[in-house]
Amino acid sequence: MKLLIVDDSKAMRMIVTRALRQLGLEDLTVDEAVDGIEALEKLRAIPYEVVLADWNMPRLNGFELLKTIKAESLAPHVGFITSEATADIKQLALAQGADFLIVKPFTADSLKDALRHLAST
Amino acid sequence: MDPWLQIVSESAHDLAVTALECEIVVEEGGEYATTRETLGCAIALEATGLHLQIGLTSDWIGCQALAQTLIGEAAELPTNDVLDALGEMTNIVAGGVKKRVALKYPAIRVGLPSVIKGSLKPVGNQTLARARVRFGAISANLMVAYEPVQPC
Repeated sequence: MKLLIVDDSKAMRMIVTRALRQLGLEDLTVDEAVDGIEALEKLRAIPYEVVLADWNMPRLNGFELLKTIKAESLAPHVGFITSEATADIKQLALAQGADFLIVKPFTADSLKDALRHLAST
Repeated sequence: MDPWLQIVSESAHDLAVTALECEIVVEEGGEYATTRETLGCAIALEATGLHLQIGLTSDWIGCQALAQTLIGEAAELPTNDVLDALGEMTNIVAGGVKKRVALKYPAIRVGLPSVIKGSLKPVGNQTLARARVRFGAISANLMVAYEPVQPC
């Protein structure tokens, strides 16, 4: 699984990377982007199966990133890990094609469940 | 150990194992630093009948070391990255507390991290409990202000 983590927080990118590594997924490749703009540059250059993004980011937020990914078919799966977990945001993300939205603080189990669900779809 | 501090300590163990990938020792009754130079993050957790704050602090060298351990960089980090890392670490501890009390407080809400200097300030009828904790070789302070007295 080739996965792109998009978050302006260096700490959060490392937390997600370590959580993914600890899940013991086979053939996992993780790359990082610091915001939506950099994420799009990487997605247009390299195919990724899953994008794991924050919702609030400078330059291009999660919603705009999601819309562009879907419009250009840049990645089959997009999930969010965010503190922004209102019902409105969740509905907006899912309606726009997000696969899941994990609320921070997240646990490794919630990430595992979300990725397992992707694998079964 | 204070029952709330026990829950927070177990959650700090989650932080050590999953994010910092280091050993953790909680020193019950350990020497506790409350100088003004002590810096860290606090997060409130709220549910009906439950008012909690948890905090993770250290001196500046400790904060730097914790952030460097989390991010995996040996070079000195800018203040923003250190505070961001401390916020995310406190968030993980808060998530562990939320998970552990979810049966009794299923609607518990976790607030956003805020920077604190010195010690956590109890609000209303909250009781403060705290312990010295070591993540590997890094000393820090773990604290919880709580109401009510019994967690579960």
